[in-house]
Amino acid sequence: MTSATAAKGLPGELMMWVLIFSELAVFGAGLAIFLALRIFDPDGFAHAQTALLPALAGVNTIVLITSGYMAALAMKFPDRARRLLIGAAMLGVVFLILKGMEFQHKVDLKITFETHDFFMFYYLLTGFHAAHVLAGIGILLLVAKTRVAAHIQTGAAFWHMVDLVWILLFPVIYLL
Amino acid sequence: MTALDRAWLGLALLSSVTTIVALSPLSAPWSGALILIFAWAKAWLIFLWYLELADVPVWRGGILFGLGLFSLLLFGLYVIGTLV
Repeated sequence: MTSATAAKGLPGELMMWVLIFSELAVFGAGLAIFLALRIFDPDGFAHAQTALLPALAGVNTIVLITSGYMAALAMKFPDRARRLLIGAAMLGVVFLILKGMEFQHKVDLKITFETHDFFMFYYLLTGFHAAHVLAGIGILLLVAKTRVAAHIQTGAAFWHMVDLVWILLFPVIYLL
Repeated sequence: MTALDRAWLGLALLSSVTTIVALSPLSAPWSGALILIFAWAKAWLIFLWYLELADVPVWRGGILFGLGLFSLLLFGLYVIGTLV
C-alpha cells in the first residue's frame, strides 16, 4: 500500500501532508496568539503596525503566488520542469531580498524584538517563515536537479505550504 | 486557459483587491472581514489547484471546514480587538 492510498487519495507523499498540517497549525497558533494579545493593547498594536511596509509585503505576495504557480506547472510539464523549478526558486530569492529590505527598514528605525509585543511576533513569524522560504529554495533546486516526478511533487508541495503560510500571515500582521 | 492558470489569476486578483480594501476608507470590522474572507479564498485556491485537492472530495471538504473554522477564530479575535 502506498502512502497515497493509505491517506485515501491525498496526492503525493503522506508525510509531506503531515508536515503541511503541522506547519499550518504552528503558524496558525502564532497568529491566533498575536490577535489575542492585540485585544489587550489595540492602540499599541495599531501604532506598531504603522512601522511596517505593507506595499512591499503585498509585492512579495504576488512574487510568492507566482513562484507557487511555476512550481505547480513543473508537475504538469516534466519536460520543462527543471527551468520552471529554477524559476520558482529564483522568485523565492526575490522574496528574501525584499524581506531583507523590510528587516533593514526596521533595523534603521531601531526596532527590535523588545520594542513591543507586536514586533516580537512580527520578527518571530515572518523570520520563521523566511527560514522556510530559504529551505524551500534549497529543496526546489535539489528536485530540479534530480528531475524525478515524485520528488518534484514533494518539493512543490513544500513550496505551496510556504505559500499558504504567507497567505494567512500577510493579512493578519500587515493589514488587520 | 487551464484551471491552474485561472487559479494564479484568481490569487493575483484577490491579492490586489485585498490591498485596495486595506487602503480604502472602509472601517473595521468590515475591512477586516473582507481581508480575512479574501485570505480564506486564496488559501482555498492553493489547496484546490496548487496542492491538487480539487479531485479529492473527502479531504477537500474537511480542509474547507477546518480553514473556515480557523478564519472564524481569527475574525472573532480581530472583532473583539476592535470593540475594546
